[in-house]
Amino acid sequence: MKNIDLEIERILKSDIYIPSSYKEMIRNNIYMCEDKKIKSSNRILKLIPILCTFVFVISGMIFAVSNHEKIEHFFNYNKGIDTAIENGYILENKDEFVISNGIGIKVDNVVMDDYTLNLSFQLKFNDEVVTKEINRIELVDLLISDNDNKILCCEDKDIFDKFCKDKSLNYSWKQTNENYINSGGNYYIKSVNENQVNLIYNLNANNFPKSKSLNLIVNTIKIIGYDYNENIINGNWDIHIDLPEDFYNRENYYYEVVSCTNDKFNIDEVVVTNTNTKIQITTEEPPELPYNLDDDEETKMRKFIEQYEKDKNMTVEDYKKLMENRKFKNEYVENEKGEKFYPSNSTSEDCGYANKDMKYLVYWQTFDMNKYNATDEIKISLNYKGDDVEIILKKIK
Amino acid sequence: METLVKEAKRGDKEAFNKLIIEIEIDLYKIAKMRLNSECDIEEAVQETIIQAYQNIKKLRANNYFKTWIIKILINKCNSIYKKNKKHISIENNILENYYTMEEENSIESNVEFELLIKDLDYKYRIVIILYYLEKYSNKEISQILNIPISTVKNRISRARQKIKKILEGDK
Repeated sequence: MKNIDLEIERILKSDIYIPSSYKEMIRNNIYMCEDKKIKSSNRILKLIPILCTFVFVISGMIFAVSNHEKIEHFFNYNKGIDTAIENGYILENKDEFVISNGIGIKVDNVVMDDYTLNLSFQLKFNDEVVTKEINRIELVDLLISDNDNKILCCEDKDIFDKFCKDKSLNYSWKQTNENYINSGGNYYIKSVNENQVNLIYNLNANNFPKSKSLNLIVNTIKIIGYDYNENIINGNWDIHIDLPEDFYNRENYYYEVVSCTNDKFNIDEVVVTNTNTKIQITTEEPPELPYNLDDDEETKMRKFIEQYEKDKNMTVEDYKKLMENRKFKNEYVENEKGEKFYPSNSTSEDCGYANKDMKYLVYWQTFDMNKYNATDEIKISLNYKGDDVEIILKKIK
Repeated sequence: METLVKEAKRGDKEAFNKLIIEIEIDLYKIAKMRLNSECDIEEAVQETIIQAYQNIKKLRANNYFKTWIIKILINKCNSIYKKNKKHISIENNILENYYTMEEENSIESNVEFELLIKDLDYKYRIVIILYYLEKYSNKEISQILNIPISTVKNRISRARQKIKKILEGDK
């Protein structure tokens, strides 16, 4: 036996199996102390700003799309985006594939406004990959930046650090700001055609910039089969996309309140973009917390984490129950022509509640009305805790 | 590390995050000395990080950060272990099976490391990991574990003998 001390040291220092769930917990933990961000297998969630204590996000995140479902809509189940596309608000990109390690990637379609960035990727595989056995594809370390070096999406810290170092940028991981956008969304396979796969990425944010071009970097692709086997393919895909003037010269419509039947409502904003309409309302409403106010800090944190874990693993049934019990219901926006527009029913929608200062409830919702069907006067109808509310607004010229 | 601790104490979340990432493997290994299930290990480390985050401003000596957080972790592990012990009579089989399944599922499980955990009592495991991996002195280990220095020395010596037998027996 060699020196026993050296042997013990060697064994204890050796690599051991560390579950990926542990690593993910470590990476996310600091944000759980104050904030939360999680990457699920098919979602990219935004960092949710904590206004005071809690944010309960009710989004279409459960709206999982099976790869076997026929995808009728271009990007997702969002009529606002469909209408925008019908009116020509889409980039059809004719660039060639960028090929690396036998795989070609290109972005053939883009829709972008303040709240939405939808990308349609085409991936062309060589004969070694049997595309019909692919269940999911992840662009593991996708980084999207623009002509001003603003980062619009980044899921990998190493790539982020390298990008910032190469460009001499002073950004900090997860510390989003106007140059490092807080974005989230989902991705899925839309179609498979022989050796080519159409992969859709739908991202949303509060403030995508008016970028003139996008740069996409991918170094790792993960292919997951129906048997859950994973195949990692490394390469160097660097894609540049010039965006049309319509995208970067876009202007939103803003609306002001003419009347509201609930005098406790404060209408923070109503904004109509090329793809959607966003509203935000604040009202006085004490929060529903997962803990009691007189619980000690440790108990509060434990109950918060339990609720967080429960929300993280929400099933479709849980989500349906949550939707049935929500305070704001039956919302729609109506234009002067009598056309009604409903909450965008897709995983790129941005809606939810947050409590503020333990006293106010902040509610926001996205509707599928856009600039192509918005009129000078619009009406928002909703039901708040059993009472119907009507808000009349007019466009600010 | 001391610079990061300083920044973390000033409220720099990124600095705190970097500190944790730097020691994530050590925290995992130390927790594994006490706890079998991956869920428990994650819970212990998670609670440790949260407690450290909440209390880092109270840390006086910046160079003591790692020792401080290891102490928190050992206490958390002990709490969880005691909590689980109450259920062992009913769930013992389930816990054992769960551990076995984890082994089977490990992609690159280190057999020697696993042997040490399985075949050594906890009181020996914890002292050797603090002594050999973390390079603490006998005095520091006695402070972390709240046991006399003589006990630390005894346990390290006995652990060395037991490990020698385990490794020789394996070969």
